[in-house]
Amino acid sequence: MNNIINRKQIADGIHFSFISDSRYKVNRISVNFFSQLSPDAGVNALIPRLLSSSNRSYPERKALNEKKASLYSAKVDFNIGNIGDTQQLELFAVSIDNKYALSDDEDVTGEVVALLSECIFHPVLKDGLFRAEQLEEEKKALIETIEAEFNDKRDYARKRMYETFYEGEPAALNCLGTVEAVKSATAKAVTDAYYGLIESAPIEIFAIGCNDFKEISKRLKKVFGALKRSDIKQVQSLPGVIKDIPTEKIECFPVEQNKMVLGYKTKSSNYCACLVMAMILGGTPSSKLFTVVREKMSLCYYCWAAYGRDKCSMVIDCGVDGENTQKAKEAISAQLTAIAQGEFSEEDIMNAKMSIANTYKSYNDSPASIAGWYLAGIYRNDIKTPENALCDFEKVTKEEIMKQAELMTADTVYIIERHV
Amino acid sequence: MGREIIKSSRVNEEYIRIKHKSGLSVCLYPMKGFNSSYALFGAKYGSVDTTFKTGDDSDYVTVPAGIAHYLEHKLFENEGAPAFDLFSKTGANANAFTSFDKTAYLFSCSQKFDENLEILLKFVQDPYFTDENVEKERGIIEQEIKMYNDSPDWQVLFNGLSALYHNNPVKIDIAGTIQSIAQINKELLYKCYNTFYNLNNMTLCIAGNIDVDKTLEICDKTLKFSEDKGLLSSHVHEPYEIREKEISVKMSCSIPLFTIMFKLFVKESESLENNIFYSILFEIIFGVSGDFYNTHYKSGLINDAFSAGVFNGRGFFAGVVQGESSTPEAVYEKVKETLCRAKEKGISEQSFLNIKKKVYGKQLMMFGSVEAVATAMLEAQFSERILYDTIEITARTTLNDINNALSKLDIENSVISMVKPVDS
Repeated sequence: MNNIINRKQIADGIHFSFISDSRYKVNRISVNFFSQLSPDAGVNALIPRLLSSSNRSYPERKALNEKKASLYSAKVDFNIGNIGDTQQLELFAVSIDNKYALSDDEDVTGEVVALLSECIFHPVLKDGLFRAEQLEEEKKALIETIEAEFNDKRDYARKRMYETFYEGEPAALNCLGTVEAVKSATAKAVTDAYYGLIESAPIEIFAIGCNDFKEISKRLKKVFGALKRSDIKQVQSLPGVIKDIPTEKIECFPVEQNKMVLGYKTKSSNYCACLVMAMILGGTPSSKLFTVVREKMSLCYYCWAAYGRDKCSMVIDCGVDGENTQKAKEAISAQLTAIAQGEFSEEDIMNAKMSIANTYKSYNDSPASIAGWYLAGIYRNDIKTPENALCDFEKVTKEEIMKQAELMTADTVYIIERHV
Repeated sequence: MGREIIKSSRVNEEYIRIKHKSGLSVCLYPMKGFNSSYALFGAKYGSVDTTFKTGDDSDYVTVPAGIAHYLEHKLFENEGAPAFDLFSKTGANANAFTSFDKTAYLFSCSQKFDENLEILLKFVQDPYFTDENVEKERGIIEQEIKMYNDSPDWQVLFNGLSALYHNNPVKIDIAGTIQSIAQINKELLYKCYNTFYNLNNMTLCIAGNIDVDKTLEICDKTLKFSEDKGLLSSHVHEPYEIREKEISVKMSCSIPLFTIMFKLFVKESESLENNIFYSILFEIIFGVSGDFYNTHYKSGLINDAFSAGVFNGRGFFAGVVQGESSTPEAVYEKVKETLCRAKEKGISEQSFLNIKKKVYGKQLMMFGSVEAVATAMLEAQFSERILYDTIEITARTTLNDINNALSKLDIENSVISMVKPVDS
């Protein structure tokens, strides 16, 4: 089934979109705020934490959590992420539909939407500011989350690589902010940032589920439509700037296995060909990195490539023994060269396209994944159904793929090296 | 080959279960309107099955740790094209996993389902192990083991299991160790394959966009008859008491991690009921709407990495509380104090009803995901249950069940495992 989004502007810079589909058992309502990644990312990252932990009707975390539990494990939660150079703050609610409640008279969806609205628009403030005690709790939790990124060395290596890869660009910044920025965030700074988002951030609201959303959309339009909005801060991503001289950075930690992340950039705007190229290189178990670097050379357990559309960049990461790190780096580079020289078949192209089609067609099967798909499309001003987007891949040729491999420029290598 | 339609009036859903003439159990869950399908072909064979015998064996055989996982890696390689190459022609997303008590091969696809199913059924039934390809895999698995050795989350769990259990093989890492996998060869792999990949010990579970008749036609065409040889896994004696109260190691991490485990013994036939009772109990006491979480989150003793629940499978059952804290020992003391107080006072009706609804709601949400439905069917089938038992038992659970579960919890028969930063 192909779900087409219904999107309407309901206030300056605020859009409401919905998909009503009886296949889903749940309803998912999300409110997404966009802002350019900046050194204040940590201040912004505190906002969804504060908003989702209490509101005026439920001023304490415990009371709010009890209310959510009583609504059949309803979630009122948040996600913080980035799309290219932009920070995305998502507050969302997920609940079962009323028809599945244990008794007939329960309006689970209505109550959950009311709870979400209350969290967003009626936080508990003291003297017009977020409460100091609550702010300190959330600052501590956020700092520990940022610090805990160090525990997963694969993920940590990628984040450290981005700092060098995108140096001087917003995408170099962690969407959760830095420990220092979070530590120094004052109640005034966080409250001002909150009002800033409400007043001038681009906001995308999604309602996806089995509900018809007639009543829900009326309610959401009423509350969001009443906002005073001005000076909407548009957001965008720019392609990553290619370094004149490639950089290599090594950090040493007491680990058993080296983690290596390689970053490439391109000036090409041919997204489809770049994605197909990255899939052939290292996007599937029949890719070159999997079949050669892992299966044939037995160097790695994981070795994958991913193409990022918003920054026109490709990232490859692997875990490898210390003495084999250079060998793996050369083998990875050799696979990219092989693609540039045309050492792949029409069948490889077909397989990569099939894999992309498989992923795209699955987006419709979950409210969260289809919301993510359309949100990215809206951000890029390129709104298409997954099925329509697939048509663009059909015409990608072998020559175009070779060209994209040739245009990929090695930019940054980051290695976590073992030291005992 | 009778078709059994299994229905739930509570969630208004149904699926089909078939004992195929080959010996294989097949569960099919068509989901109208979905684009994708998710198929799991699983063997009731996991890392805990290291000592076993069949009707053909005179005595129990013990094999090196990590062999179920090694086998999973090797099955993708066939005499012709590797299974991954075949899947790549259809665009399916294929993978496999080995857990403590099962191994499963899977694909998800939104096109060419019939071809994908045929590939899955064929490659799992067609092992091809040579000295060379077994040797080649060793380097890859060594890297996988090293990757997990660098994971504080993984280490804190397995150290906890090794403190909790004396003999239960669940304490051994699923992938084994570099030393144990060094002993694995093609003969041992064939021995394990022939023992555990008997179709009578396996289940096929599929959910999503499928045509039942066509799917069964493919099963008829590709499944080879398996004679049931009466598989026996050896049951090790596990003492009641824990093995070691506390275990602490240092690793490269930012903040100490902890896993607290309560050793429990439940009858295998009542494992699902107990899983639900203890999940509700731990959610009431340690969940985000309880006093414990809110008091200690506020004081900074715990953070939002904190969670509690049940760790169970074939032959093992434990209550678990885990998270991050700069003083994990203090969390352990508070956890025990809280459980002692709960034992004295019992659980209140209101908190029970709230959490019961929460757990029920979570279970219901599963029916919107092809992956979750197929995975839960496999779990149910291997536990000799039906898929809807979980939600039915939850709906019927009483406060008395929860208080009974609490009374059986031996608070001191518990362990704490900690991973602390190297420079602490």
